Amino acid sequence: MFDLAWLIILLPAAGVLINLFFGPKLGDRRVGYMASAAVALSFLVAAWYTLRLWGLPAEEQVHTVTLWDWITAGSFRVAAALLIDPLSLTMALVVTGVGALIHVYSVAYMEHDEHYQRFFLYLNFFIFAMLILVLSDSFLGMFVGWEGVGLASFLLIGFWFDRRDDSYGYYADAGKKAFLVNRIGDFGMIVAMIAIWSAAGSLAFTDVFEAAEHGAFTAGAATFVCLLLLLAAAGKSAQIPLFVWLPDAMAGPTPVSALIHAATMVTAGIYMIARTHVLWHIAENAALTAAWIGALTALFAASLALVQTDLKKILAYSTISQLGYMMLGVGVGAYGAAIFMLVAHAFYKALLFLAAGSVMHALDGELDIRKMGGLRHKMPATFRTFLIGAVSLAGIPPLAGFFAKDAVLLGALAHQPLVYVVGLFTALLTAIYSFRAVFVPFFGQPRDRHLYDHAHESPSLMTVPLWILAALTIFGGLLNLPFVLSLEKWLEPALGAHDAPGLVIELIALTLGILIAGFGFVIAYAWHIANEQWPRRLASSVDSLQPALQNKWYVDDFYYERIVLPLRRFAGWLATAVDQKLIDGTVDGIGRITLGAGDRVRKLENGVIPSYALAIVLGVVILAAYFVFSI
Amino acid sequence: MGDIGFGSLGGILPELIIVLGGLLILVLDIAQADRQDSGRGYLAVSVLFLIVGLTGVLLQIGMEPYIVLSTTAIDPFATYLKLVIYTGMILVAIGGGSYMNRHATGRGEFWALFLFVTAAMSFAVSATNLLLLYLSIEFLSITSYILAGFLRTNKRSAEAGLKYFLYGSVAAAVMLYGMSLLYGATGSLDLGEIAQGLAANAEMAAIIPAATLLTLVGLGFKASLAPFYQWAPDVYDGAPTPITAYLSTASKAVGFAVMARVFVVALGAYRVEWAPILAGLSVLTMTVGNVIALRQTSVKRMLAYSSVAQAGYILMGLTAVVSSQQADLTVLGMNGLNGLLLYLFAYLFTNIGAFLVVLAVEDETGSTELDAYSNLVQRAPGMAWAMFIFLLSLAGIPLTGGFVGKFYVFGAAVQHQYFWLAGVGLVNAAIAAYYYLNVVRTMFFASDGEAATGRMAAPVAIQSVVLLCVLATIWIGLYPPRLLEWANSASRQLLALML
Repeated sequence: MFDLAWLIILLPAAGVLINLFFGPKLGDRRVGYMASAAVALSFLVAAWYTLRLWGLPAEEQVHTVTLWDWITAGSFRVAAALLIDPLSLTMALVVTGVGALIHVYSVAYMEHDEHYQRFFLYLNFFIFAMLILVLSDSFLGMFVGWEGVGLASFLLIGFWFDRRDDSYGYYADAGKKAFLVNRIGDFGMIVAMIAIWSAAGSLAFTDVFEAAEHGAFTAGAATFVCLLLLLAAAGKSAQIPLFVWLPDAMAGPTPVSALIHAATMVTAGIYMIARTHVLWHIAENAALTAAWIGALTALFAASLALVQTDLKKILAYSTISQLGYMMLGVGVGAYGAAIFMLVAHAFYKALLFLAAGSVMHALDGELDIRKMGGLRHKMPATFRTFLIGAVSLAGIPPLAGFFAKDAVLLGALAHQPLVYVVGLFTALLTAIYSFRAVFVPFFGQPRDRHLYDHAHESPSLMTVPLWILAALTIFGGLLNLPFVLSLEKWLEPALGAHDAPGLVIELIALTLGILIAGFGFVIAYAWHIANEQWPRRLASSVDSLQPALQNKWYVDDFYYERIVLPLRRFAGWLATAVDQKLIDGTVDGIGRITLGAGDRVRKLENGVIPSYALAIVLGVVILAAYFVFSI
Repeated sequence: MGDIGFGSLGGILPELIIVLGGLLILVLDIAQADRQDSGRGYLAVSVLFLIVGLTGVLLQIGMEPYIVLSTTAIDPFATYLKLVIYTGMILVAIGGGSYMNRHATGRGEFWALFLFVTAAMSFAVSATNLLLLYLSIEFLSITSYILAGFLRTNKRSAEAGLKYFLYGSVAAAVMLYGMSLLYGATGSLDLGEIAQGLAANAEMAAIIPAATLLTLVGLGFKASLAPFYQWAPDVYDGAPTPITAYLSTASKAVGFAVMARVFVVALGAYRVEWAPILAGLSVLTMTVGNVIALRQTSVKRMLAYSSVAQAGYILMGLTAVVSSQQADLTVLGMNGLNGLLLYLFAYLFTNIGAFLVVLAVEDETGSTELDAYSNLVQRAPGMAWAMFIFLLSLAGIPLTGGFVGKFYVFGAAVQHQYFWLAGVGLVNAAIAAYYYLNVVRTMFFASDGEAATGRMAAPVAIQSVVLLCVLATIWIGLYPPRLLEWANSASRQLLALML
């Protein structure tokens, strides 16, 4: 019944091909609409199959759709197959749904760009790769998508590869950084796959998990595999220690930041861990590590978001922080909650980025919030939608963000109270920076008169997607209300049964969450609107941290000094001493010897027949000698 | 043994047709008073008869093996090689015929000899009897001497013919001596009976090395193996290019086929003795060919040495037949012999195509030097790209026929534990890539634009044959199942005869 599920993947791929071959003939606008339509149709197919899957009883909700035998080499077999289950379809819906909205938004946003067609080519390619990632039924298939989205990310971050500015340097370098940092994670993924193959004898998810349930993995082996998977997830989902690429990735066009670096690609690591939850159940230490990495990343990135002055960078650190929450969620075993947060985050973070893009569009590319102010009068739609996104991000009920964060933190409270405390404190920081991002640009007096006069509301092609995302942000919580938990129940066939925490604990978590978010709002309001002194006094107690925050906790500098520079020196040595002298010398030497031999041997071919005849005789004699002496 | 009678001639009908065609051309030539005849008619008649012959061979595919006139086997092995020979001769006739017609005097004789040499090769690959074997090889050799020296007024061609004759005579004499030893030891001329006789008379074992060795000289000469290769570069370079094209492909294939049949059927029991020798010759041949080819400035002469080197690779296939591990060679996927056969087929199209490009350039510029190829891609893009494909195939790059051939012979060598042989082969392939790609560099990236910028107009006949060769080279590069099946059944049938 899911035989045509490959259509979900095929449609964006067709978009790529049509764009590639007929793009110049279609013209810019039509390319944009065609690309959007391809993703929208893909969404409709995914929605249709979701409805059909929904109608089935829970035990029949996991289907493998085999397309063809992909690789057969000895006992190594991988089929090109799709895994259709609640988790993969949920992911596909998010990717194509949010993706379609962002495509439509981009039609207007990228209007004046000279490489319009190429932009949509990359964007469609990204959707294609991301769908392979979430729909594949094996580690190898997922890895193909994993690499594909990495490539799309690289291409799109460096989309304006010829530009440079002070905050990003050359934009192409930002893309390169993202790609290289991700390679470290990919390495973990490759080694993990090899380990899984040698332990379970297969790379198909269902086979591996069945083998794991029958004890194919010892606790040590599972920990080894899971730590490698964690490395991969840390690369893709920008967790400690590999998060450094994501802030730089903001060099890409804003729709790219919204789609790839907020809503979808960066959540691939979370998806991957949720998908492999069977292994993580065996590897408890690895899961605990993931939880702590998530919690620390959340705290760490939130602290940096507090001091950023670039609107997109605030959102970038906020994304890292939110991904930390999701990592925390999967780490403590709250897989359903983490996926719920992933979905909700896709809504409100895409909304925030698109609204920020709308601001940027209006202000001619300006992103420094210190130059903005009072924009709510000029751009009412953008302001309202941004506000909705920020309220959700801050965790104010009843928006989606509140329920999502609550679900994750509840899981932490039930299993790892210490992690919960870190998460709760981070929630306070989150609320503060969320409202700071609203109050500074949109309220108060204009700080740069020229920019303010120039500002205008964006066209409806951009505001309509904003409103749709805003609606999703407001009502997204309905997907998984506390005590109802419909999304977590729906995901059970893929993620295993979730344990419902007790009523008391749930109420505690809800109350604390509301209080802390409200407190964050009060601080931000008092600081930026009411302009009171007490928040500043509060902040002055941690003034000593200020330089560290401004310098991003020195992580980038540390990596540069300790890893990049030594590697460069080593590479330089390899290039001169080893490559040029040793290897080139050897190769050239062999070439010279061979050519010299050619010159010598050539002389034997002298054209004199008697000497040729002599060669026959000599040949016979030598061969005869061989016979005589070998017998 | 099959009966000797008129009815059994059906098996050699293709050969008879070819011979009749040759005789017909001789008669026509005598009846033809006009000495200035263009020779186009003879070309057409020859191609027609060759195609009829090829059709006859195609009809023999899949037949049960049987022996005609006690001396001629109609078996998958012979049929496969006849496919190679006839296809090659048709390609050469169409592509190179008009060149020969323009340059040769005595066109009737040329075409008659062309058909006779085809028949000779055809008999040689079927012969199961030393006498017929020797006769058909001599027939092939003598006609080839004449063809190589056919451009009498051209000094180089005449020299090539004479050298070929002198060298060939020595080699043939040595080979005859070896054959006489085999006859003396077993009292039979039939290859199968020789094997039985050798098995029955253990005391005759002492004579085997000498007989093997001396026979090898004559067959190695045909296949241009070192150290019996020295005629090859001189003759290939001096002979008219179409003749070089068939000498380096069809005629060489005959050398390998006869060698395979004699060594496998008659001397199969002694393969542990002769295989190391073949391995040594293989290494020597490919190394010498490649090393000298490095320094050539003439593309034709470079291809001549490359042809010697390729013979070394092909010989690996026969060497690999020996296996200490596998008792039943016929069930192996890579039994060595099928690699040899595939290689011959792929090499046929590649090399004929390459020589036809050389011919086209020679027609245009009067030169076969590398300089004549500079910026060929601008003057004749089609020819340049075709040459590119042929050179890739010669170098053994995947998706070309040359790769499949190399893959099978190297694979067989590895499978049969001949690691050092495969290793030397790989090193040689790397050396060879240098001089092949050097031509590519000249054709595509020559820096000086001094070469003529005008378009080069190759004759339609050459263009179409070159196109066919390109398509066939790529087709074989894609592992055509039918061809693999033919090569497999031919090799298995021959190996099954090994005692």
